[in-house]
Amino acid sequence: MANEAKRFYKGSGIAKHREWRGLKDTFYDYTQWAINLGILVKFVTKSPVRIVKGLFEYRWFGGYIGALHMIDKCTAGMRGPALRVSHTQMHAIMTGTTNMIADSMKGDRRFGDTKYADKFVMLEQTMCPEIAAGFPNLKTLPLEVLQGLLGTYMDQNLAPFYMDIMENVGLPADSCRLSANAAGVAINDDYPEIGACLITNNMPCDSSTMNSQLIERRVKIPTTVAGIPMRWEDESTDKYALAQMKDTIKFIEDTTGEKFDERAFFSVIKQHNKEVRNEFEAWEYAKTPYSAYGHVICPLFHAFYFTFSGGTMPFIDKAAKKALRIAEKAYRSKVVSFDKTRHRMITWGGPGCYYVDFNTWAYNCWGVLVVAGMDMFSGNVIISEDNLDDALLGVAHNYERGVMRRHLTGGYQHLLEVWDEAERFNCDIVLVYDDITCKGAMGLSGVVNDQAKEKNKHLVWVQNDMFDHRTISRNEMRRQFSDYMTAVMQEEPLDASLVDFDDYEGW
Amino acid sequence: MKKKLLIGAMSIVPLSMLIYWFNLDNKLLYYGVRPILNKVYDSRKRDVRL
Amino acid sequence: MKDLKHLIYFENLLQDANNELVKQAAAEGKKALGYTCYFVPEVLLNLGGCFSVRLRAPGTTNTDIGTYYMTNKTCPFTRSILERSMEGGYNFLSAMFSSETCQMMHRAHEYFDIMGLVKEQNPDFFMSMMDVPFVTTKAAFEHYEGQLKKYILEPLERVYGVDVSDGAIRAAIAEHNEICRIVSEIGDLRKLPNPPVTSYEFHVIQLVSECCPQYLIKEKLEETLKEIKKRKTDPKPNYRARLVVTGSEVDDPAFTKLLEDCGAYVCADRYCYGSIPGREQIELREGESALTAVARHYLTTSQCPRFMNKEKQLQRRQCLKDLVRDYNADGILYLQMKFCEFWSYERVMGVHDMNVVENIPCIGVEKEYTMASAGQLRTRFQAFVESIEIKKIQGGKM
Repeated sequence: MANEAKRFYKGSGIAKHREWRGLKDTFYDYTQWAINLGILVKFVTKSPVRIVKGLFEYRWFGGYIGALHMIDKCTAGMRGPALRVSHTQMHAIMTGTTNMIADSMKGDRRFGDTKYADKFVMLEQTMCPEIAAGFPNLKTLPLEVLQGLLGTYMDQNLAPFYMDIMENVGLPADSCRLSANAAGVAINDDYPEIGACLITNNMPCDSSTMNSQLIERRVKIPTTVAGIPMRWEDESTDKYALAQMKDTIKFIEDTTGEKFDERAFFSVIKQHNKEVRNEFEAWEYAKTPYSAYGHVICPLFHAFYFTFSGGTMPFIDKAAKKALRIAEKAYRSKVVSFDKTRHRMITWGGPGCYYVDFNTWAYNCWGVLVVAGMDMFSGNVIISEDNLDDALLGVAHNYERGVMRRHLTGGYQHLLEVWDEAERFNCDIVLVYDDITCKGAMGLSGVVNDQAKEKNKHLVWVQNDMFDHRTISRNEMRRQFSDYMTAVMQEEPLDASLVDFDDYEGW
Repeated sequence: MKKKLLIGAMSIVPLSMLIYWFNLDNKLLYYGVRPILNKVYDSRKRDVRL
Repeated sequence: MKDLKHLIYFENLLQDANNELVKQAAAEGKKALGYTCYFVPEVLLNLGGCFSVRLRAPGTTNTDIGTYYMTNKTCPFTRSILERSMEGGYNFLSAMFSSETCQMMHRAHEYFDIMGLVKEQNPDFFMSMMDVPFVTTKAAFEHYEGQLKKYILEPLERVYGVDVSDGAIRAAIAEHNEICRIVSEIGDLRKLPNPPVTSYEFHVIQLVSECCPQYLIKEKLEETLKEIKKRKTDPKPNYRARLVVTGSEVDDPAFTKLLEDCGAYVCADRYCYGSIPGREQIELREGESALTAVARHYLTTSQCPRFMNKEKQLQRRQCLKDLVRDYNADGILYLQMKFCEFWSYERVMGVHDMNVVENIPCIGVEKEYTMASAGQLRTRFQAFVESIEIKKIQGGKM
């Protein structure tokens, strides 16, 4: 039996040495590590002084030094085509993220006045960038996600500092951690001072509706609200959704002096559609036993391009196509990339973002392969490529069906789609993350239980506190899952050393 | 000089392999850089207000 | 002061959602239409042949079923409503109207659909859920009006044959305005230094006006107004501090009683189920349809923190400042139902703004739906009232 946990230092979870994957795959992994280093070097050279200043200025920035460690964790145990698909997608994520951080620093007025700052339309939360696609001279940058979600994937200690700030001013600890973190960053004056304007939004829930109002108070640029309907399947909401999109575009024009360019808009939309079609194609492989898609990097890739690219980052399409070629080859050759698989699992609900590699652990410890996750099904709207009103409505629809929003708004049936998706992806276990601050999902937990009983499905709940590992640690999440595997599934772990180990102090 | 450069260039690969295999990059960042950064952040005065 | 003639009668009506007036109206063939949120205009549920019932769950002790379905980490009010609906407490309803306003409330209401609640008693029962805007642009008003039509008027007409014409809505507005006039006249008396109505009594009156068929309660409300106008007050007012109470849902008069016991007088009730907003008369403008007037009225008067645009954010702060001035209040109490995301942030920002920016004494408090934590609340309210008194003694300095 493997003894993988021995490879890590107790507490920090830092590996004593990297994983031996056989000569070929270890060498491949080494080359990919070298490529990642190259991406980081390229990042620093974009604006060395400002980037170093930013690193010392912003606490959230410090979380990103855990990037290489995160990649190691997410690819642990991977071999062959699966390893190659994950690295390919990860390079795109790295490139995109470092570009955005570099832009944030290059345009940060805190480090001196710069006209570069005016080139940016800031988008709050997980609002997708298609809204600014008609402005070829402008770029979009996310506010919140760089300072929260992405950083937490790399360092579980990033968000608690900001959440504590919110609790100090009286916000209850039961409030959504994602929103609390973003609000805490604002109160601590930790957002880069950049952008010509900011578009806030009601994405995806009550707390994000409210934290937007708080964040607005601390930014020094004009703001507007893109308040999109909640009942997104209802056609009677379309007119209002379209009007909101048009108002937002008008706001961008007014605050930047730029004019909406229809040609540029459709060019980005075409690219957006390519990204979505790539995703649909990848799903077809993921449904099979010969899939090279699995674990966590695939859903991360989806969330990344949905939130940040939206057709504006050409390397996303290239990476997706390259991954598809690898997957296709593996499928044709009937290569089983995940040969330890005993069960196929779908994950649903809000995950513990501080345990980004939970899926990888579930596979290495228990042979449970995660082939699909809720966030994969968000967005994915094919937008009209020739009619402006239809296209803008498509942008609104894509936004309405965004990460978390797709399943938590617009009716209970959306969260309950989990059973259909589990069947579609041939999963015999359904894992529902019980994010203890996500009220929209918790409001249906009894129905999920009832339906699991009716459908005779394996359902496991794993509690987490989204951004706060201090409440429910990674080891506690492991314990919950392991208890289910031993007590309900009556199984023995593939690697007993991974059932219970200490990584509390780690990144 | 040329010889030195060549040796230097050629030693990058084995050196980087060593760094890779013994995870020296992450060890340095976690045990070396991270505590320093945290001290810097803790010492910074921020404009904390609603 | 002498007890109000109908107070005990009113109190009894609040003991059960299906109270004797609701039963009487249902027996007369009227359709009972349930709702909880201000975004569902009460006036439209009082069209001919119908009556509105703003749902409460009085006497809730535990919420075991609600907690099974929604966990113990969600709003206790919505869980209580779910509990009561599962118990059959709302089986008298002919329809339930809701909006996707807040996540937990709309989830609780969705159970009417998921579980087929009430259907057994009334096969025609339906639950209708609409979308409501986050801003107050022109498109938002149109959207809201469209949703009112699609999700309230059309199903009422289709299922129960209710007359939803412009004339019928105008008639409902006239009736509604009459109730608003009566309750507002009583409420305005709270502005007096020595008010002839206690805040507890007003809370009971306001709730009765929301939870009973208005055509059956109107006469007694009118009578009570006359009685209060003539009522002889005590020589000295029986409070130590006047408070504006704002926040999420409060439907238990015992809560106001608790505040009174701590020396506070709730001179303005700006919370969900309160009269501000809620009892302002609907203005019909020249050339405007009745439904447009209703949509405009509710979106304009709503003080829900869910509105994200700056105008509405400022309106909420301004509203409180105006209430403090108009009602001669000494302070503001921000209430937040436990687990309410909207009011948790609003409370944090509001308490800061009122205390620091406006220099108005203000505290924020989290509360349960039931009065289970009354002891802790009492301590905080007493301390707040005392701090206001000290401030007064020290000439405005804390």
